[in-house]
Amino acid sequence: MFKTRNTRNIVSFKMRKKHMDSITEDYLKCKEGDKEAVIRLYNSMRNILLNVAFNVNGNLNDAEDIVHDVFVKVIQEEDEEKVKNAKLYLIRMTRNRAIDYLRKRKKEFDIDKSEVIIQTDSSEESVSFLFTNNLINRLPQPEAEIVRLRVVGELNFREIADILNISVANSFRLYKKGIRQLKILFLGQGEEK
Amino acid sequence: MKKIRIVLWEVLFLAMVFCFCIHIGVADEGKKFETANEMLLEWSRNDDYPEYYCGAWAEGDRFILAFTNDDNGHCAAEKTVQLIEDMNSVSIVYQQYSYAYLKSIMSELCIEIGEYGILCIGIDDYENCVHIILSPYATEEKREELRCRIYKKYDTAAKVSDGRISLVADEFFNEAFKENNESITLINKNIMIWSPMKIELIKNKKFVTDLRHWSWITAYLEVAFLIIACALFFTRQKKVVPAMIQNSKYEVHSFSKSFIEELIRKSALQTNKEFDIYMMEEFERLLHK
Repeated sequence: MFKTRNTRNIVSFKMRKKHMDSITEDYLKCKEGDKEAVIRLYNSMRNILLNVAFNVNGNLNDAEDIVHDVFVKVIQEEDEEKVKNAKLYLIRMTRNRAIDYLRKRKKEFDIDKSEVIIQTDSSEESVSFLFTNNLINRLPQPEAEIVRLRVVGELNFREIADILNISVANSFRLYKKGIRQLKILFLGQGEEK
Repeated sequence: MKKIRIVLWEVLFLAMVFCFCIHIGVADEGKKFETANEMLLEWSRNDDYPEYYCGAWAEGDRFILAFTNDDNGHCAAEKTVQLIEDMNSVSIVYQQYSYAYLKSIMSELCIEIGEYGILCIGIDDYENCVHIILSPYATEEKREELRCRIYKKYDTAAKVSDGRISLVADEFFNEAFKENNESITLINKNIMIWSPMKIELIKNKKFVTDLRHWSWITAYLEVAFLIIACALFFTRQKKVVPAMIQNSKYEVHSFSKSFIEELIRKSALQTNKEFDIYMMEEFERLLHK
């Protein structure tokens, strides 16, 4: 049976809320030392956090360290106030930590994000992965971050705006701009080749 | 959703093509008429007389159809025999000028010769010419000038004669005449009588009463809409770009927002197994503390 767009949105919204609630629930159980909840939380958040960290920091090893630090902090430290949305809280925490790492590294040497090298094999998937990542890295920082948060992190524009401290309209505009620029970059790459 | 959209566009496209075909009369191919009059009515209704048709009139019980005296006309005569079921009371004659040509001359003359004081102008099917009847108040000098001018330009396709009668034929006067009295009268569709005031209007081309114009406008609109529909349809088709390498060739993918999002999703980093194992050990250690 066909569903209208509105119905689909409502269903999607409910599922998303349920997912968010389950993450928050696992997060709270983590604080109580529930091992299964920790594993569930790790499995549902590891890739998102890794991407958030990598997007800010541009270094895969650092990104892994950041994810590690975040989970250690979740298990060990007590929250100052009650967390309502654990997913947002974790992403914000990861981002802040990634910025700290970046500041530390910048003191040591300059980083050019467009030349980030990720070691992969030479399979077709890896080539596609590098190709896309290379293009995303060519976007300005806010656009690249918003595009990743939206697509990989599956956040809505309100949540993105909240994390990046910008307006909702601005987050929407930057996302559209990012996608448009990516289209142009894809096209340009195609023509070049 | 995408498929539904494409189907809708195709339906729209086909509907437009169908409308256009109907308009240009493709659907009329092979149509049969019971009588010759029916065929003429059909042409008259669409105001679309073929180039080979010269006119028609009645002579006693017989209906006379006139066609051009050339190959087209001869072919049309043969074709007409096949088109009309009742050909027993129809005779075919050949004449020089086509009805469409005479109509075009009449339209030109209506605008050109208003200054001479026309009483009446119309197409004479029998004599195969445009008949202009001048007002009795026109001077001899003007009449002669007009005759020379018309003969020079249209040869025998137009004929000028002097008007002496006063037309009082209420049953022929149409609504336009009744409303504007002395303004415009259409008798049998092809005979027009104008007052000097109306002639001024015609000169300035301020009136549009010819339905043919509207039919052309609708045709133009249909074509324009068809072109826009096609343009939209093809622009909505996503541009293609080579995005991936396969066997040293680029695989072509549709280029849309969802395609880009899918690529970003696929290109997202994933934690490797070693890191996951390390993290599990870390969790174990931290939770046991």
